[in-house]
This record gives sequence, C-alpha cells and structure tokens, in this order.
Amino acid sequence: MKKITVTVTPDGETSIKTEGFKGPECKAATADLEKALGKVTSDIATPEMHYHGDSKTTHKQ
Amino acid sequence: MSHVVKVALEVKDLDSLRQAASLLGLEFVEGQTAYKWYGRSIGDYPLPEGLTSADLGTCDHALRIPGNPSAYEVGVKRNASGSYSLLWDFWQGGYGLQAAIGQNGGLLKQAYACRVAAKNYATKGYRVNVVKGENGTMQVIASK
Repeated sequence: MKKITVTVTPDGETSIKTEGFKGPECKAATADLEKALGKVTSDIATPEMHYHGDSKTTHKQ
Repeated sequence: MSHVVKVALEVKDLDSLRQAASLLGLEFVEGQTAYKWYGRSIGDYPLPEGLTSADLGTCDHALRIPGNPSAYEVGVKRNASGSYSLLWDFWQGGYGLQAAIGQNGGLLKQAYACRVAAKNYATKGYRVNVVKGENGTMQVIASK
C-alpha cells in the first residue's frame, strides 16, 4: 500500500512522509503538495528511495 | 519510508484558508480591505518581510470572530509573489483573536495545511483521513 502522511504541529510546522513507494516515485507523489504548501526546507531520502526496480546479478566463482 | 520532506508554509489557496478559518470558528470576509488592530505601530516588533508600517491595517480579505466586536481581525494581504501574508495585532491577545488562531497563528496554519493536503490527495484518488496525533499535532493520511 502506498501511504503519504502529512504531519502538522500546532505551530504550523509541516512535514510529509511517504511509505510504500519504489524508487523516485515518492518524489512524484509529493511534488504537487510541496508546491501547494510552500517552500521545501529539507528533503531526506530513505533507503527505499534508492530502489530503482528489480535487478539480477550473477555470481561467478 | 521513501522520503521525508519539511515545508515552510505559504498561504496560496484562499478556499483552503476559508475552510480552515471556518473550522476555527472564524469568518472569512472576502474583499474587506481593512482589518481591525490597535491602529498605529509603536515599533516594538519587526514588520513582516516586504511590508512597511503603511501596509499595517490594510488587506485584501479578512478573518474575524463572529459575535465578538472587540476582537482584532486577521488581514489577508496578497504579496507580489501571489501568496498571502496573514497580518494581525496580538496586543492583549488580540482581545480573543490569539485564542482562536493560536500562538503565532499556529492553529490557523495547521488547519490550513491540513486542508491543502487533504484536498490535494482527494483529487488524486487517494483515500484521505485526518487524525489527531500526539501533542496537538494533526495528520493527514492518504493511501491507495
């Protein structure tokens, strides 16, 4: 399941977290909202962000 | 998790601002060009960026507390960039205004950000829930 959580504190501090997206899909999922909300002040990729699809490796001994 | 983004809020969507104001018991008055405040600046606080003392008290729309004629009001003033500044006088808590919009307008900003987020994902076919988190936080959870 793809999930986006927007957390807003009582001071108005806003953060957006994505889960369940593969690779850079997460960026596309939040791009419109980021623009609608204001200016991005930080953007931290998490391990799942760096997935770019299935890959096969072969090992030789 | 895929990525985590922090955003400095800018008010751009008047519909969402109207809805946020309504959630807090405020009335959005379209086209009101002056908002209620002390009436003159005594220079004890810095002015918002891009504004002069001549700008204080003027606005393009306003938010007010219905049924409280003593309360100060929030001026909604369009900036050159197309976003809006929210201006208000917090002297004596704005005679009730600060209780409604929160310290530094935090509750109004929170409600606004939640409305913008919910609207954004609802139009994209996500299932959207708005929930209260810990310590007064609100969360908009969009899933599909």
